[in-house]
Amino acid sequence: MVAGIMLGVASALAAVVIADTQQAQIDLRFDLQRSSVAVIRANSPTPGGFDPDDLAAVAALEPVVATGELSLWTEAAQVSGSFRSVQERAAPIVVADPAGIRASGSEVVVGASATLLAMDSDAPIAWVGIDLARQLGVLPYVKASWPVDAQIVVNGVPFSVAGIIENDKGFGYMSAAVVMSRPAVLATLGGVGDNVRAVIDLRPGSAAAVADYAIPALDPTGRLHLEDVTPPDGEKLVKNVGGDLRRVGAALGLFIGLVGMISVANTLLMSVHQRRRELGLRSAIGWNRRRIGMLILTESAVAGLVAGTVGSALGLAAAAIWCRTQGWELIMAPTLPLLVIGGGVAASLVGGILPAYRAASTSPLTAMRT
Amino acid sequence: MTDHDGTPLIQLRGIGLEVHSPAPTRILHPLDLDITRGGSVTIMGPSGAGKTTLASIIGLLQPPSEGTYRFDGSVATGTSLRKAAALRAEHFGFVFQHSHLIEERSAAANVELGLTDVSLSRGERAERGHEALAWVGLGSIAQRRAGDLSGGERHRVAIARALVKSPSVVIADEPTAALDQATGQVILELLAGATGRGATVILVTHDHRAGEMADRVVTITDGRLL
Repeated sequence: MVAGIMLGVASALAAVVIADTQQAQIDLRFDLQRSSVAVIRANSPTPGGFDPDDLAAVAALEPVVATGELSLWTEAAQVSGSFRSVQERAAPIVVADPAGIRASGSEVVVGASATLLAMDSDAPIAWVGIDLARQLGVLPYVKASWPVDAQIVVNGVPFSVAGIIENDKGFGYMSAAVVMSRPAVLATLGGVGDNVRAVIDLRPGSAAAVADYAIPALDPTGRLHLEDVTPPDGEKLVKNVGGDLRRVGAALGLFIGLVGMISVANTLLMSVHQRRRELGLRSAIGWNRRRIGMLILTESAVAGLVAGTVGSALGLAAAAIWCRTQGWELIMAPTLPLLVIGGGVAASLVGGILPAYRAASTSPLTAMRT
Repeated sequence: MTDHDGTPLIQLRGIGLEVHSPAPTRILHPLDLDITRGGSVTIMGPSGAGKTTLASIIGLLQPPSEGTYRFDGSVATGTSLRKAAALRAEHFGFVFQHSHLIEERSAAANVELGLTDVSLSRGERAERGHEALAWVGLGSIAQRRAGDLSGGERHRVAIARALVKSPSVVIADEPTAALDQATGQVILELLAGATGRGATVILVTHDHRAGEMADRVVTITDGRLL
């Protein structure tokens, strides 16, 4: 019985310690993968959009590299090419300024620079994502042979294609979108935009703090009803993964504890059966049911305590050896061994309830008849 | 205790036992029996006659299915399990056929097991245990493991365990059955001597020597008292 509980306790403690230690390893490995972008969305967009001065105020923050608009005006506009193909496609329309293009990590690979997006002109000029350009036949898209008269049609409105744009930094849909300036979209397609956002390129790990500052800075009057929609960064991911690991460790510990408990119950039941003559004797000489039951529960608790203590030491040793072989630094809450020992005692007590009941039910006649 | 007012210590009236499982079977026919304080009574009879059943009813190990049992003037039939256990703890000592010692514990520890009074200190328990062991002639082997004792020694330890709390009644069930003649004689003499310690001794046995040593012999056959 002691061996069973000991193994259970040792396994549970080792599992929890290794899970904790693994969390530290994950923290270390994810440290450089924290989010480097914050995204602020306007829930009540207006035709005026973000104030350039407000965007500049956010851009002036120390951890910020670039701040600009990168709005998904509409998710699916009807777009066709007019250069070599007239095949119509559904493509997103993105409204951006040069800082937004920079903050999203997008790049003009062919054609006019994105700085033209800053012009206060409502001329129908657009940049086409590289994947969409391929589909529409806006080719060739190499710089040497860029056709200055390339055109596309968006929702029936012709646009001059100023260049081809590409993104491989987490805003992949830019490569399949039509990008234009706010004056151009207001003059041609109209509306206020479905998903108006400011994108902030920043130093990794500062997204949450910058977003907290940016919301009042970009919308001092609160008319845009801004919201931080920064995608979960590495830090959050680490916490989530760590939480999952802890839950797995805890579930494993509980499962092992359950197995240990069943083992205790089974062993004690056998013990009670083997000791029925002794228990019958105790009953015959005047021990009442409660006292006999308490005897079994006490024995069970003592076994749990001894096994929990030894098992805790064994589990800790196993975890330490494992961490050493992996080159990890052992992480363990100081109270964990005490908790595990307590768990061992508790499991033994719960496992001892049925055997104690059986023992308490032993007839005093057993002594006379065996 | 109603010691000398003429009331028997044990009074059975119409006591009988019928079991219904697996089939209705009459184990003990209704019987009357009085046992006075301080003497020794031997219950004799062939195997299966109901001797042990009668002894177990007297020892409150088993309730009868009918009749009235008065112990020391109080009705003992129909009492709760807890009350029956309390009466056994206070008044009864048992010596079983196979002595029923806890093998891995010492002779002294086995004897102390018979002390059911939880208010006794460890020292008092040890002292009384040693005194009881000395009375059965085993004071020198008090610390020996029970599993290492001979059959006769085991029975003497069992007698010490039964007597250690100075019970009113000692019930011994076939105490000489598994022993040789000489050892059996020693055990019977010890039990007969227990009356000198104030106990009423009830012996269930086939051994005719026990009958010769007892104050009174009761014979039972086919569940009927003769």
